[in-house]
Amino acid sequence: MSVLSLVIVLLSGGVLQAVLPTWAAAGQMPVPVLPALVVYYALTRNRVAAFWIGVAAGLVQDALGIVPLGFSSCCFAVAALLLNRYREEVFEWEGLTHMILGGAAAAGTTLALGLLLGAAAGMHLPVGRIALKTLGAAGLGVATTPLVCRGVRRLDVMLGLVAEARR
Amino acid sequence: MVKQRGFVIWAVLLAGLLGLLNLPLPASRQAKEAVREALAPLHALVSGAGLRLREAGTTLRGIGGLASENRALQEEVLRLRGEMRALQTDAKENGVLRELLGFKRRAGQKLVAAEVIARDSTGWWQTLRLDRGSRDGLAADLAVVTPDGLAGRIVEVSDHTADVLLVSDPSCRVAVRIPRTGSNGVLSGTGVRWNGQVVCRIDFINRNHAIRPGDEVVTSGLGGVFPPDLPVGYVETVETDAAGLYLRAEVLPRADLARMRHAFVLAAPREAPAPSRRGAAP
Repeated sequence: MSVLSLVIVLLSGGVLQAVLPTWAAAGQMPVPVLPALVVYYALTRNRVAAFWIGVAAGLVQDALGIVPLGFSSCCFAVAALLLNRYREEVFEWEGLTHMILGGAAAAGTTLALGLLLGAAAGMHLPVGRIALKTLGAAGLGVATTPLVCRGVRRLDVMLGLVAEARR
Repeated sequence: MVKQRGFVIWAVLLAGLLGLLNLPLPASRQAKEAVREALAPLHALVSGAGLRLREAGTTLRGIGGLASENRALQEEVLRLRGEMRALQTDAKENGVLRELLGFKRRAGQKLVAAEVIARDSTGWWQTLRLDRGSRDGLAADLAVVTPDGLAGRIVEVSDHTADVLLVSDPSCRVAVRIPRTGSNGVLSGTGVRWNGQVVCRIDFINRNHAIRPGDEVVTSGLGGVFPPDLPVGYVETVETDAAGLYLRAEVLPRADLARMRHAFVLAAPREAPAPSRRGAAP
């Protein structure tokens, strides 16, 4: 049940990310639903699970776009490991933790993906464009992650997976 | 011992990740297609629900202005009828002149209507996904248009979906022409401005050509991907490039790329009727 719910959550997150509107002021970045899910699972699951969830979330993102398969997986897996490593360093108010980690994860994965695309896929990316997209992703991550985390936690509670989830 | 085991586990995980990055292209394409196909109905459902909500909101907002809108539409209908009559006359005259000059009528192209069901989920490309795919006759490198003008070309296609690289993406190159001066150039996207305005750029225009803001830009047909004479946009600004050898122009696309909900794919030309055996030359 845990794996099934995870698959459904990741696929739904991927669909939402592709369908939700974008804003020019945020560098046309999509609402970072998948990075927010990576944050949630990195904070509530063990290191190996967090790694695999990062890889799976990246696969969903790559499969739904024209990015070569595996690029986002690398970025999300590294983000998941880092978040999992420092998950004890949290703020007293959980929402603030989610906002900061969400912003950092969205910005970090966006920047890393941009650099990977520039280096490996030969994509020409001006510095200004990378900066705008990274900042836009950070802002959207701050706004989105607390909502996504709250929603997925509710689902975990409904499905009786709350024992696995760290509160 | 425990440390060694942990090391082995991480080595295997990293090897798996590296394997994923280096998947052969056919395997990678198949995996992507499978995920896309599985999610296409959900995409269409969510995107359709969003569209209905927006339409409902627009309807509710517009109820107050229905009477004045109705008047304006009636005037528009009258004006368009007049224009249509004039155009019909012109078309007849054009047909006669073409016959006189011996022009061949261009083969009618099959238009496949499609709905936009998603946009790029990484934010690094200017792409969107259509709800039609190879089963509807779509293939890579087919041109995608809106009633206003060129939108882009298909880059990836699965059975029921197709990904379109928009002309606003820097990696999309279109051979274009400015009919007023006959200048040719290569158009590429420059992304989206802060105010949401999509802008493209034409490079390598002959500097002796007097391009000016407002000039219309159409496809030239060179390169073979886009058919000639599709409207692309209008020149906004003109400048000389850094080396002083060519002109460079910023172009505002005619198609509303940021908000498009529907598109038409210029599928392969309709097959001409097979020549009858009786009429065939020996």
